[in-house]
Amino acid sequence: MQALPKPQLRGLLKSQLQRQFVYGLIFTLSITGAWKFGVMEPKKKKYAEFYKNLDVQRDFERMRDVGVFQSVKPGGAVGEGW
Amino acid sequence: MAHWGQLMFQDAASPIMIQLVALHDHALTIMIMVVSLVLYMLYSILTNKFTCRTLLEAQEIETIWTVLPATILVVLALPSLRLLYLMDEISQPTLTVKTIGHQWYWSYEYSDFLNLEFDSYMLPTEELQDGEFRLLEVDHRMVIPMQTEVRLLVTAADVIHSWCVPSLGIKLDGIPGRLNQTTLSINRPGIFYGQCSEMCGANHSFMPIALEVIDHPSFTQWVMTFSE
Repeated sequence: MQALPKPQLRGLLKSQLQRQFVYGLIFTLSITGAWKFGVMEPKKKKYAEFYKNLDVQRDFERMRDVGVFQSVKPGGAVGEGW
Repeated sequence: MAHWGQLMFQDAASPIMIQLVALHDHALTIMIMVVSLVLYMLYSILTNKFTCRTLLEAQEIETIWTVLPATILVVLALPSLRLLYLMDEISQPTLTVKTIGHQWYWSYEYSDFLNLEFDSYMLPTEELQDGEFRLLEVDHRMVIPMQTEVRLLVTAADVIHSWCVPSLGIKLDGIPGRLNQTTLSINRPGIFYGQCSEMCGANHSFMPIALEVIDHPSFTQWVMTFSE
């Protein structure tokens, strides 16, 4: 009959903690990585894309012609009431 | 402006605010990292039936939980200090606007031009047109040109007020007898709203700020109406 390997009798907490610390690090890094690459980087990309494709003059003229500004009327005339 | 149910920042409209949003994400990343590690360790300790009767000085763990937090703090502090100093830089502003807080309205003075000063009162709810925002609209908005560095000087005439526009990342206290200075540089046209952010009396919640950002020719045209 084969002898069973001797089980670990001492230092069980220490070896358990060392293992758990590694698992904890993996868990933490995955959650942090998910946040960074799932939320942070897409947000930065969205801002970069928005400003890369932005035509501020066209945007301004669109808003002006809708009539949202007080200082300038649709068509470009100066606003009144000041 | 904020919309119903909003939890995070408003869309950034200035380079500084874009950087502030990025710094906030960086700080939140560190926070998520620390909290997830602590929660995992808590779980593993609570589900653990082992004990250690010989633990005495625990030099290794003491070293780890001194060095690791110090490193985390350095990683948090360096970008924060960089942005703090960046926010204080004032290079070559083209325009200066002085904002004065009163009970309970703001007044704006453009001292680069003649006779350009006006008061800005909140529009009462009963006078709002369709599509206008309650407690945010004003009778005369502060007008500035887009993509231009503007020096903003904030003060107050009576009690302490605070000029705040969240989408620009600006909050500056207006203190009687003192001028606080910052710069504005707005990336895109539009209307940006804010509210007084320092308790100043009964109508503290009813003295909003509305900033109208337009192109340079329209701004010049608007300025000229004051000198006529």
